[in-house]
Amino acid sequence: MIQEIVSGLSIGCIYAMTGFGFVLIYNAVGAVNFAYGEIVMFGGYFGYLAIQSFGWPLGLAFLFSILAMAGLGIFNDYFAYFPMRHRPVVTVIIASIGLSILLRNSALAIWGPDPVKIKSFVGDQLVHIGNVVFPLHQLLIFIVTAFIFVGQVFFFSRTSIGRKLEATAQDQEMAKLMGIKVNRMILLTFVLAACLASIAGFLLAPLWFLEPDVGLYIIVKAFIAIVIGGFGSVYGLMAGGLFLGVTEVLVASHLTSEYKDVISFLILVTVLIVLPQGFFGEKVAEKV
Amino acid sequence: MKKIVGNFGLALLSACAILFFSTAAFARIDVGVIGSMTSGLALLGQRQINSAILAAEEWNAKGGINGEKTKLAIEDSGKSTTQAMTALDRVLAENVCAILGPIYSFQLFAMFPEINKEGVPLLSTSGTRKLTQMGNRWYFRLYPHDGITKRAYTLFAVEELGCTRPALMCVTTEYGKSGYKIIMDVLKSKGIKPVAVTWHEKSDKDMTGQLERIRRAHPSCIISQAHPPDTAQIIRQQYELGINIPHIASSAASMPTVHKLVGKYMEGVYVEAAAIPNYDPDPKIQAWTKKYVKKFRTRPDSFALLYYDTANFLFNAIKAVGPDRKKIRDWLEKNSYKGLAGRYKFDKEHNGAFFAIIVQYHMKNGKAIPTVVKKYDFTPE
Repeated sequence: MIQEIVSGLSIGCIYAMTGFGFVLIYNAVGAVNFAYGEIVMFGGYFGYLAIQSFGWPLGLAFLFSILAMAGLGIFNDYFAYFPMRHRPVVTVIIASIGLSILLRNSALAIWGPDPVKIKSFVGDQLVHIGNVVFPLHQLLIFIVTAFIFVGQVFFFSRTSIGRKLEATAQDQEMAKLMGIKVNRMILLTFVLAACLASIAGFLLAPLWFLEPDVGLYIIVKAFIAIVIGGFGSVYGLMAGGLFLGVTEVLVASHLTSEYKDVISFLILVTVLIVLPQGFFGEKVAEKV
Repeated sequence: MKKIVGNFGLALLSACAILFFSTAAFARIDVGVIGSMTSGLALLGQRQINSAILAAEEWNAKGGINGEKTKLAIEDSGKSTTQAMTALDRVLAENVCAILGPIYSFQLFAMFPEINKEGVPLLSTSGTRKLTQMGNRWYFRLYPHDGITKRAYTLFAVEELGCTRPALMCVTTEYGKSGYKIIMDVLKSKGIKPVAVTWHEKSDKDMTGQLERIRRAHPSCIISQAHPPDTAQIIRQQYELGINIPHIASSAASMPTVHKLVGKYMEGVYVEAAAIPNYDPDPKIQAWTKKYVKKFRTRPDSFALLYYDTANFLFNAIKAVGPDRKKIRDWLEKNSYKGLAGRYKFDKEHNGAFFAIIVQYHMKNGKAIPTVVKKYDFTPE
């Protein structure tokens, strides 16, 4: 049972890692960005490009990926949000779906359909604790997720720029009146989310591999985690991600492996009926 | 007057030349070749087209078929049924006597109605079981279908590895479900019941739940039926979780892409395949592989080798009965052919290949190298 829980927590951390940037953009512009899964995928693929094509070491490839992803974040803002910012939210959502298709097909054209992987920063060693065994990379996932979770909470509550972003997210008109440059803050949000996607891409690539459809897979799971946890809440996202990850593994192991995804969606529906705002989602009711 | 005679002579000469070259044009055998040359599907398609080109060039170098040169009408079926149908229309416009078709069953299924209407033999190396269960008398399959390969690797697990407590891991696609049924039938015939059966989605990224369920059942081997990415996840996680029992995998595990993903955990894994042209010790296959690599600067896969055999089987049929569509079909139904990969003879459903091999992978200098450990031949007598 402990083995399953450890693996489930690791999966949950990847869902949460994907969700961090997703929630960041949602809070800033009030619309879900369905291209975020593909943005995470590109974070990994940029690293793969630097390693395979340029022969760069992992650390340098990671820096390259962060920079390239910052560029992709700017592209996301200028291409799929800024021109639509005064239109209904549904237009922004549809633009994000368009961007998602564009990125997925671009990945297919550039890197082909075959899955690829990049090495972990900590190698492929295994950790044995009693009867439990897991790759050292999973430990890295736990640590990085915890670090980003704490960092994100600290950033928004304790730094000036974080507060400006929070103010922009809560009410753009009011933020403008307070002298905050809203468009710049939104651009910064897209860049920050893309950089977080780069980290998520590097963390998932050694275990889950990179392929053009991986973004679609993780965004669906991250979205469920976000809804379960409470839309817009970082605490909720963390709780929802871990809950979903552990549930999936336990269901596959002890109930049914064939219908584990069906059960995940049943949990989602149940949570929506019993707790429409999710575990931690008080703000969401107002926004949705 | 001289000028008129001169012009007349020139015209007569031109007419003779046209007639000569027209006759030469008729003195050739047109064969259609359809395969994916673009998109991700070209990974398999282009290699097969290469094989057809190689076979045709060899026949032409030896003087052609009954003295007539073979001309291949090659068309790209891309990655859709629409492109495949366009390709089919184009090769039919060339009045071909037979077609070497694409590997992908969804394209073949789309072609069937027109193939029936036109009455032209279509040969391919697809493994999908259902293709030959549709009663199409013009379609011929020259690749062991799943009923052969799954039977072979299940028998290998039971008879050669002595695995009486197998655990099955299958993908929930049509491929996984049809494979599961065949595996279960073979196990039942041996009086064996699997101790655990797990299912996963093709896109699943973690198999811990499934593998823990299997661990609790204490199996003596794992038989998996999956696609490349999930096969890679299963093999890697099985050994990471310390479940050290033999793994017998479906043909996806023979792909170099999977080896890159799995790395050192490919050590000892058994895989079913139709052929392994790059590692087969047979001198004839080695010579063919060398020739293929030299000409096309890429390594052939098992499908490419069997496609080469397919082309040669067809050219033998044309040699025997001429470029007559119906006669070619009838000849193929009645005759057998010994190719590089094995012997081909069609049953009533038009399945022509009944052989399979089991290979075991060992890591050498960071590469997964296969060794043939068992050959199966279920060809009906």
